[in-house]
Order: sequence, then C-alpha cells, then structure tokens
Amino acid sequence: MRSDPDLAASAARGHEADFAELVRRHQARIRGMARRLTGSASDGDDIAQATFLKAWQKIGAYAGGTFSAWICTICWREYLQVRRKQKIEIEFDETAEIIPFERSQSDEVGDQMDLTRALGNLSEAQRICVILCVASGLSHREAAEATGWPLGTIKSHVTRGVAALRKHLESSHVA
Amino acid sequence: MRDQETYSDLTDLFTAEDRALDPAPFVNDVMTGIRRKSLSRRLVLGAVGMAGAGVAAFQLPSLLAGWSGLDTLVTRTVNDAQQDASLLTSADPLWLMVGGVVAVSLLAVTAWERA
Repeated sequence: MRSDPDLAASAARGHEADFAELVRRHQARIRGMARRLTGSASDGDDIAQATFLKAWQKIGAYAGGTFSAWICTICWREYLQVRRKQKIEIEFDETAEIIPFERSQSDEVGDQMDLTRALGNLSEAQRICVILCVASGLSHREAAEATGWPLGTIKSHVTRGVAALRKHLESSHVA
Repeated sequence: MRDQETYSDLTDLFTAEDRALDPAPFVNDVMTGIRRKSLSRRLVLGAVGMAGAGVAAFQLPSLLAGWSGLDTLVTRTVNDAQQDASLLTSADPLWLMVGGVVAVSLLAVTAWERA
C-alpha cells in the first residue's frame, strides 16, 4: 500500500486518482471532526468538502510529515472561516459557557449516540480540544500548532474534557 | 504520548463512529468539485490566452515594423563602427599596437587563470 506522502506527491503532479485515494483514506476522520465541531452533519460535510478542495489546491505545499495532521489543520481553518462568517468568537475561558448547537431535525437523527451528547456538555474550548486530540487523533503538539493555542492550554483542556466525557458516559450507562 | 494512551478507548469509540460513514458519495462529491474547478480554470485560462493571442496578432504588423527598423539601425551602426575603426587605424597605426597589447594581455590573464 502506498504511503500518504507518496500519494500526495503524485497528486501534486496532477494525478487526481491518487488524491481520490487520499480523500477515501481520510474522509471519515475529517467528516467526523467537522461534524463534531459544527454539531451538524450537513454543515460538517460542507466543511469537510471545502477542506479537501483546499487541500487539492495546496497539495504542492504539503512538506511531508503526518498527512492527517496537515489535513486536520486545513479543516480547523475552514471551520474558523465559517465561524467568522457567523461572527461567533471562540471563548478560551476555562469557565466558558456551553454553547448549544443549532441542529435541524434531520441532523439529529444520527446524533443520538452518547458520545455526541457527552461532547455537547463540554465547554467550547474543552470540546474543541477533545475533538482534535481524542476524536481526530492529533497529538497535543499538532493540535497546538493547528489552533495556535499554547501546548499547556491544550493539555489541560483535553485532560478536563476527557474526565468530563468519562463522567457523563458513566452516568448515562448507569442510568 | 503517555497522556494520549490514557484515552485510547475513547479514540476507538470516536473512530468506530466515523467508520460508519459511507465514503463513496462523499469522495464522489469532492472529486466532482475538483474536476469542475479545474475545468473552469482551464476554460478561464484558455479564454484569457486566446484573448491575449488575439491582441498580440493585431499588434504583430507594428511589432514587425519595429523589428525591421531595429535591424536596419543595427546594420548601419556596425557599418559606421567598421568605417570609424579603419579610419582610425589609417590615421594613426599606434592604435593597432595598443589593440595588440590589450589582446596579448587578455590572453595572458586567461592562460594564468586556467593554469
């Protein structure tokens, strides 16, 4: 099986089939990340699609390293662009309020899992850090580089977010 | 890394959720978007290129006229320079000696540099 950097180098030379293989490999991670960030399946898929279109344009700039971290960073920036259009600022405060998602009925159909509900109970900053590091598999350092937040802040949000997530999952299993 | 190992069970849960997503329609949508974008890019570039070629074609006669004029000018300048040089040497043969010394010096320097 060809490696991601190998496929990316080939895609940079204009081979669409190799880029399609990269999309196939990473679509689940990126769609999951975008869906969790937006809280909506349709908005998440729109961001995921914009992510891969941007990746195709910038594939020549991919300088090796973990492809998943590179594509997750693009996804995060696309998400921020959408948020800026909606003029919602991300609150970094530890005591930040939980920002509820606006969900349509069709989006809610697939969102009934405990995990998604547990994520919705986290603060905005914790939710973002958990999505990046726990759900999308970025290292703390990669998440810090993608978001521009300090490494210590990422670590602390992940630790607290994971604890809150576990607590919520345990209580929902007990109930 | 040690920190990340402490939540690998949660990562597995999220990954299982993501794997349930059907990749085919999404990949198809992305690749259709890419093909549409590159097609429109090619069309725009082609149209701009054709427009540029059209403008250049209209300018070609005056451009060639300019080049013909330049050609005549260069030929005339070279002829004039040759005439001046022959006049100079016939007027004073010392210039031939100066030219010879300069040429020998240049050869010597070149030979020294190559050695």
